[in-house]
Amino acid sequence: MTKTDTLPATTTAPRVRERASISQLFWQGGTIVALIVLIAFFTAMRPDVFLSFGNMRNILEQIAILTIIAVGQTVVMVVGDFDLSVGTNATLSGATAASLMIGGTPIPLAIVAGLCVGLLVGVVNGLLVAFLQLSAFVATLATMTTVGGLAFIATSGTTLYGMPEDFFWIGQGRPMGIPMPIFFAVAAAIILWLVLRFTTLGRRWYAVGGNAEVARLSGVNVRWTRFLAFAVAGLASAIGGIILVSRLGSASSASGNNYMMLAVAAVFLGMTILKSGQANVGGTLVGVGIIGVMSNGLNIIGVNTYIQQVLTGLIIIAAVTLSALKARKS
Amino acid sequence: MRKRMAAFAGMALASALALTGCSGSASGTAEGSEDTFKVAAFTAGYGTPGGKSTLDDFVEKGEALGWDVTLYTSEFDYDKINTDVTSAITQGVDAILAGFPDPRQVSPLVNAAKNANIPIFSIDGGVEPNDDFVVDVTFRQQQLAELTVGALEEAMGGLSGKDVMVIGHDPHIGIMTRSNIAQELLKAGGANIAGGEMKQVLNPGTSQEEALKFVTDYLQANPEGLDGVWVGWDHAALGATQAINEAGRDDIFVTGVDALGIAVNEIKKDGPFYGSVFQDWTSVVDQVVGDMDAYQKSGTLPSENFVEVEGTLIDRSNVDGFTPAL
Repeated sequence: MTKTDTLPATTTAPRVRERASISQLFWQGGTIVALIVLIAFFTAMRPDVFLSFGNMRNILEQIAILTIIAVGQTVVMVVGDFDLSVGTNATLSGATAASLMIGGTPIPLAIVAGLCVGLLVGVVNGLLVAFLQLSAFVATLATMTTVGGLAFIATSGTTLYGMPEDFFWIGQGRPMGIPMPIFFAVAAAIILWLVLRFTTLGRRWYAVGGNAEVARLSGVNVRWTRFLAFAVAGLASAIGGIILVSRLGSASSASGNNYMMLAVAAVFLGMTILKSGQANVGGTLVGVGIIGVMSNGLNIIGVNTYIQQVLTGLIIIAAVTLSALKARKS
Repeated sequence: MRKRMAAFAGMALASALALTGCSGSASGTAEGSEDTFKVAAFTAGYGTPGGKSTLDDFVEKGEALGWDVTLYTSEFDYDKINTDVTSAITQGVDAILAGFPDPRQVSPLVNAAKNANIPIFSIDGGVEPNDDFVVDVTFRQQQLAELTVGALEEAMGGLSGKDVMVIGHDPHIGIMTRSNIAQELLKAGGANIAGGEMKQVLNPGTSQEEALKFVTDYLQANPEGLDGVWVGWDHAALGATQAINEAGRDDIFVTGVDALGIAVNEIKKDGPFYGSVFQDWTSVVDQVVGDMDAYQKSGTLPSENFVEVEGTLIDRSNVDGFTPAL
């Protein structure tokens, strides 16, 4: 009897472990698996097209600007906040640079001015959230609206064009056949990954995001750490916005606004990769990859854009749900 | 406690002063309104080049006539527009100018205006006569579609058997109408609609990038499957043009509508952007201002409530002599 009692226990133990490992794999690898499944699906649908070099380059070019803005958003989400103003900030920064160039300001100076505008928006967000203790949602929602209005003023509601040809190299240049935005995206991702992974500042960001009170008691200046995260997100948005203007050859009053939602979605998707459920650059890149592959693949197989939007929304819901469930589990 | 009481009293005093200031200014305006012709102008499309310049032009011309014009705008948010204009009606206006309204989404303000017996003059308020407006001056969508499809036909050397992508935006009633007319004209001419159906841009503000992706991805999958791209407005047409240029193709042509300055520059390059249609909104504003002026002076309403005007095709043949307004 004892034998019969103990036998099932010994046989079920590996099964439980197996189940645990499958479950763990699902939680931690689900997003990567989703990306692989999407790539496999679109490859099966259009085997001659989807995995071609040209299309891979296409996808990378299409997600390059989103990558830059999303890695900036990652930093803010590492400290446990989020920035709703990244899209309008990108629009305003790009429009400022474009407007100055059209007015005769030299390209480098105009770009620096655009970057300063983005940084300034980030600084304002940082002050509101870190020092005035406003909710990140309320503060960045307010700056999103204000900055969106400023973008209308900067563009006079119209399309700005006529920037110097040399400026277009940033967004349209193709050294070695690779679009320039891809280089910028790779650089931004590597720099922020290095900062988050190997510097004291990166560890402080994670410490504040993990438990701000414990971080404070450990000697971390929580306010400055959060402030810097918003400043970085502002700067990243400005870089993305300026590249977007160069890529399109024009600046309009809302050209970068959509990037906010996509950037948040990408970071949420990426948060499911780490066991801790924290935002991380690697995960964000996977999230950006999913969004890019979805958009490109659905266009290639001819799916209606309305359905594309529904599917993107469903993916965001799935990602947020996964993150929430994972947070509860941990 | 004493400090709190002082703060409370201070806030109360400040609020009272602010309210006094507000009420004083409101009463001043009300007194002025007895003599001044008050106009509430609105548009949900102030974020578009045509919308902004047209409404700014109206405000400038109205104020030059001595009217008190208040402009209400939003970014395609009709809930805000309905609320703003309805409260303006409550406060008292003499006439309303609807700039590029979607007639399907302005019922609350239309009902409020009807109840207050205030006439609504409209610019580009639909594609058919609408009793909600005492006049609606708009461009004939059939003509815009015919001009652009004709230009595309000329560029491609005929329509029969050609693959044409159609890019539209259904939430905008004018673009939706001309896009559907163009699609039917293309089909009737024997062209195939690339991808089987019209591509829908989700957000006009980001339409250049959206159209760039549509055409880039389509060409990636169907390098030999595209001869032309018909686009309902220039901003998106620019994205399509860029995709064709980046693909290194010189045998695919694009048409748009609006004749924006940046589009006109592209047409001048003799590249993929073949033609666009100029809509003279300045003359439309003049006509509506004239109608409103007649109403102010004599109470006369326009004899027709739906006036269609025609656009001008800008292509390689006349682009050098054309000065864009937008």
